[in-house]
Amino acid sequence: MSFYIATVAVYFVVYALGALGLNLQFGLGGIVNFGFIVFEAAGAYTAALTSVGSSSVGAAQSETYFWGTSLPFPIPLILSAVVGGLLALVIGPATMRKMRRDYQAAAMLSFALIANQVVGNTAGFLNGGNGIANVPAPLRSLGGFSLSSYHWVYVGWAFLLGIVVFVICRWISYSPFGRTIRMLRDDEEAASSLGVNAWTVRMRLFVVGGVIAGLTGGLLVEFIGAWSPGAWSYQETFVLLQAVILGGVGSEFGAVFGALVVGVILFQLPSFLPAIGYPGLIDSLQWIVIGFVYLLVLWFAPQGTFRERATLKLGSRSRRLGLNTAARVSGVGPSTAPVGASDTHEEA
Amino acid sequence: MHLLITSIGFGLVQAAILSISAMGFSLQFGMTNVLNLSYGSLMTIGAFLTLLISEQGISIWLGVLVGAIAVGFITLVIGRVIIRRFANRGSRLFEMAIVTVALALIIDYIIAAITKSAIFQFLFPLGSNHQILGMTFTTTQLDIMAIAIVTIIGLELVLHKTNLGISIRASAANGPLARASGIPTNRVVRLTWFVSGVLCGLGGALLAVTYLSVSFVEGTNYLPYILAAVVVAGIGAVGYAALASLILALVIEIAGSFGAGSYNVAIAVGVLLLMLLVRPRGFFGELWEKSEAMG
Repeated sequence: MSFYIATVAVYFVVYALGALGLNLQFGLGGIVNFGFIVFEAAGAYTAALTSVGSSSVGAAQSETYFWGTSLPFPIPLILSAVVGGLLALVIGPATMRKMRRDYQAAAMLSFALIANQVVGNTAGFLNGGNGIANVPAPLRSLGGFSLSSYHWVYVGWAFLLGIVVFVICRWISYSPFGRTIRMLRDDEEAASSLGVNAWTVRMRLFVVGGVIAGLTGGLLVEFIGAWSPGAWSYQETFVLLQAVILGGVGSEFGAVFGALVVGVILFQLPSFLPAIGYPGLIDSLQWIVIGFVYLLVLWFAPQGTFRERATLKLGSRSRRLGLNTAARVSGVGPSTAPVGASDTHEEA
Repeated sequence: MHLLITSIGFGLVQAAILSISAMGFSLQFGMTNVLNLSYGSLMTIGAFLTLLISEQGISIWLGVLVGAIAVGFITLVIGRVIIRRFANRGSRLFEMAIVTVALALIIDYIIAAITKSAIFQFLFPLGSNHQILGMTFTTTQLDIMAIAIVTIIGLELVLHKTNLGISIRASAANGPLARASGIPTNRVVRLTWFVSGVLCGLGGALLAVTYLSVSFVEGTNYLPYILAAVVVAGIGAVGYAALASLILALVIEIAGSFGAGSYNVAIAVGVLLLMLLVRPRGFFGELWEKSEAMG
């Protein structure tokens, strides 16, 4: 039982981190990344390959992958974050152009569908559909923990990492960079006229999101010890996106709250309930529920439960201090666009 | 050389299915301005209906027909009941994309729940082999290509030579103006949802007939090819979507014959991403500037 609770706790952090990364890209930047899970997968594969050892030795004898090594504890996780960022750097330019946001969505969805099929169908690359198993538990040998206490050590480590990322996301969101990116999302023309380079700003944000995704994947795979295409099919992104939308687009607390509701309550807890029907029925039902929740949320509360507070808060404080709200909020100098009205802004 | 010719032959069969699916998608997208990401899932419905009817021992082509028409009606209902309501509510483009993905998840996993996520095999004779210009086709493959050619020519003739086609294209290009000119745009939009749905179901059914197997992810996994063809052609450029499908299918199959095998889907998405990078409005798109969804 203790193990189940620990598992759910780690999954909560993993969903929360994913939602925070996606919230940076989508909530703050308006980048519709329907392929977010691929960046997580890249991080997970990186962490797995850099800790599982060569494919010709040890426990992984039956698996074939193109490369593998065994590095000491924090390095695989760092590398997974790096690879997530690099992938974002490569994929970013194709979607950063000024294009319809549904085009961007479709392109990223295609990317996710394709990446999963290619990895699943290519035997020698990442061991095809079977994936990589027997990824060693990183902190275990280091501290000499027993199996039962180790899970809770990992929970602590995951929460620590989660809090660090949360603080960083919050900091980005409230920094001048965060205000610039919000402005860009809400009124690209106004931002550009103030000298904001949309491409660079969006790319930076996209890469930061990729780094968080990679880190998340690494954190997950070091806990569950295995990774395969079944773990990162395209629809996994929509669990995270639902967390972001349900929690409130652009809100970090909302992302964490959404991760708790969608990731943990909707997705992890049912697997501990007594089975109904044949094995796998619950999985299908979960996705159907996810689909209907999307329709309901977008119908009744498209802004989510936690509304983005940044502009409102700053606005009221600025008013108290008698400052020009728009100038404060934009972070890039005097603005003609009332950014406080951002939530109702309709895009072209 | 022989390998090349063989792959061209298979590419032509692929092009037949892809062009039917892509024309339906392009027609729907051009008219409604909704990038319908549940299109692949609707194709899966067509495929499963074909399987279901062919298993009753009736002609598989009847299954294809029923599958296509049924998907036409389902698409009409989804388009007019769900998508239109969200559009009228002022949902933005990416929200519409999420709505259609939600529909895709619902459809895919209802099918998964019913079929226990299994892969179903067809038992269907492919007919004798025919040699044409050095390429070998089964009777079924020839039938599929014939259906595609009839569909392409028929759709092009309707769109460009009839009053109905002019109404459709006018409504797609400028809805309010078309309405002001006396075109019953509502009826035209309804018809477009239905016809594009029929093409969607037909594509899914033919996909199943070609591969002789079907599972709940069939259509969704096929979606990237359709998106690539439609984006390359440009929004609403229905005829060119067929042309883009032909080129794309040939490129994929020929590249596959040179050892790119399992990477052929990657080629499709590579084309798509490259296209978005170089020329996001496609080569022949006329309707890029439209921004409101009509549903």
